[in-house]
Amino acid sequence: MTRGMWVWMSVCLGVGCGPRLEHPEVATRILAETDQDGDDAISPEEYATLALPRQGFAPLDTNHDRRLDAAELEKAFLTSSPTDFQDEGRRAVHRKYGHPFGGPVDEGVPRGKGKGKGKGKDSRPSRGKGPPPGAPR
Amino acid sequence: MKRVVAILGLLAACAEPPPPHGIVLVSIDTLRADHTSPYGAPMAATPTLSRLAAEGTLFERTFSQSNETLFSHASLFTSQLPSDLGRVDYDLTIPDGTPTVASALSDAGWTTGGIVAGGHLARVFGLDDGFQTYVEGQRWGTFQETEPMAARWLDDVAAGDDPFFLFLHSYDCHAPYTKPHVFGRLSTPGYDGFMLDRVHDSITYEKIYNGALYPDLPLSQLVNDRGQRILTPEVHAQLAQHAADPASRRLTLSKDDIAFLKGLYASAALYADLWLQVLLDDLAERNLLDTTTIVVVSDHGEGLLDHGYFNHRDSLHDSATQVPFIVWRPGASEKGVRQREVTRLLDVSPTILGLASIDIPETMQGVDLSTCLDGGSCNTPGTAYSEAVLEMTSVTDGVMRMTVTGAPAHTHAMTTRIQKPAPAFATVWDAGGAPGTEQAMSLLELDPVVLGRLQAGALQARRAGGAR
Repeated sequence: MTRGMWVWMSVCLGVGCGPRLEHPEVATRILAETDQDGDDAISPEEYATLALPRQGFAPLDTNHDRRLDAAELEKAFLTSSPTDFQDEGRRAVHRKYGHPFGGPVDEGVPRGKGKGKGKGKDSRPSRGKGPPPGAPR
Repeated sequence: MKRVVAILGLLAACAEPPPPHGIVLVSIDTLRADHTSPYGAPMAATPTLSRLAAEGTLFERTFSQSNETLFSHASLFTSQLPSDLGRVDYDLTIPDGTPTVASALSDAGWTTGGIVAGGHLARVFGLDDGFQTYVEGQRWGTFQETEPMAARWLDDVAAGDDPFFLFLHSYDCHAPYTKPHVFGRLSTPGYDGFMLDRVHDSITYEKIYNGALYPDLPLSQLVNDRGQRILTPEVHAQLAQHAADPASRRLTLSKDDIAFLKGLYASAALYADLWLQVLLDDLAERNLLDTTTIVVVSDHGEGLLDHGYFNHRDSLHDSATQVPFIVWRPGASEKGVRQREVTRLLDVSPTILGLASIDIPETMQGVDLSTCLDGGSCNTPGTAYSEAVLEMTSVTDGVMRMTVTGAPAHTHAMTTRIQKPAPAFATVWDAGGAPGTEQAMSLLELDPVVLGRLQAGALQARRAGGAR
């Protein structure tokens, strides 16, 4: 039995085979790339060495078993916007080291309070919950 | 005998897939070829690209016609040089009425959609010409946003009978490279150096030169005609001057720091590759994959300190211009073909139109490569010519490269410099090795036959778009 099949089995055992993961191959591959000790899960210690930033394990561990399995990884993968992540990271850099052009630090708009594209939670893709603003229909 | 010929003909016809019902062109912004698995990176780097290449045709030596998103995509869509469309600066737009791959397909009855990640592909730059649907995600955005948008567009497409063309784009490999969660330090787990909390700002990368970060480098911006704030093109020269000043504060990058930064880029490439697999899954779920041709390219590469910078705007070396180009056709006979001829992003639109059996507009300068997906001769010019906003042009035959500076790309002055290159403004490079290993040569050392070939390639490309 291949390692991928073991991961598949763990997904089935962990979250059940239905409803199935939307993109099981993605979760399987993320896990294969990131699981350093081969237990088909990401421990808090592994997460701390891999993630940017190092904090943030607990919200992803939805069943509170101190390990991120394929289902939890896929959920984290599909619900975290890299663009929002980078925006927040950039503001943190500016707060610590100053704005690169000398202006005030852009504190952004709190999630869910922005208007229009790119300013709030609603602008992020949400599979199966209708199109984000601007999506073709 | 006639019967044998007829049977052979029938077999040959059976080997070719029918014209595609759909064509998807994916542009993974800022992805340099040599950092993908089918172009030499480890298999785990971009496994989806590897699979597509193994089941399709990979063009080993494809070069973009510019090193920046706006100019490169304008050239990709129109199959014309950036300077054929106007002055190569941030006010460039595709002139009204210029045929594009999307307009040609639309005119032929195809449903066309562009799902882009904003930035220099925003509608304001005019790159939406010919697309019936053109949707912008967040500025400098990600497949995580644009791919689901594309999937919803495919829902509508799948419900109809018309053939379709989808252009899908993201900036996932563009600085600052960073990705949330476990993609962060995938290649360098445990890294805890001083770059850890600086890498989220793309401006940080602008301040790296020859192995050091210059945090106090003063930067300036310009505002283009569209009101967008852009770093001044002179930033690279300013950085080099700043670095040469002994009084400038510098933070030297260790091997671990550099590995960390390069690892972020590798993680970003894998992340983009994962979304490419999601796209394939979505096509399959809609029963479209079996009739859809997939074309994957990038618009330009990225310097990863190859020539001093973490950037792509500063040079036209292979690191900034050599891009992946893979064509995957369901049911086609070609499997794992590696085409060695020098090709260009100019050739992509004619190839797509060739695959769709649509006449190629006369304004398009590229070559239809659909006839050489099986590894046969492509009849390309054998050279690739590129232009940059920094008053710079470059031409390569895949081994040698000549770069000419000091005049805007669209001017007769640049033509004259290419015709009569001199060491003051023309440099030649032995680019036969991996990107970043180029060896500078004296212009006088270069074999006159090679020099003539490079000059002719550049001039032919420039003439094709009209006299300058």
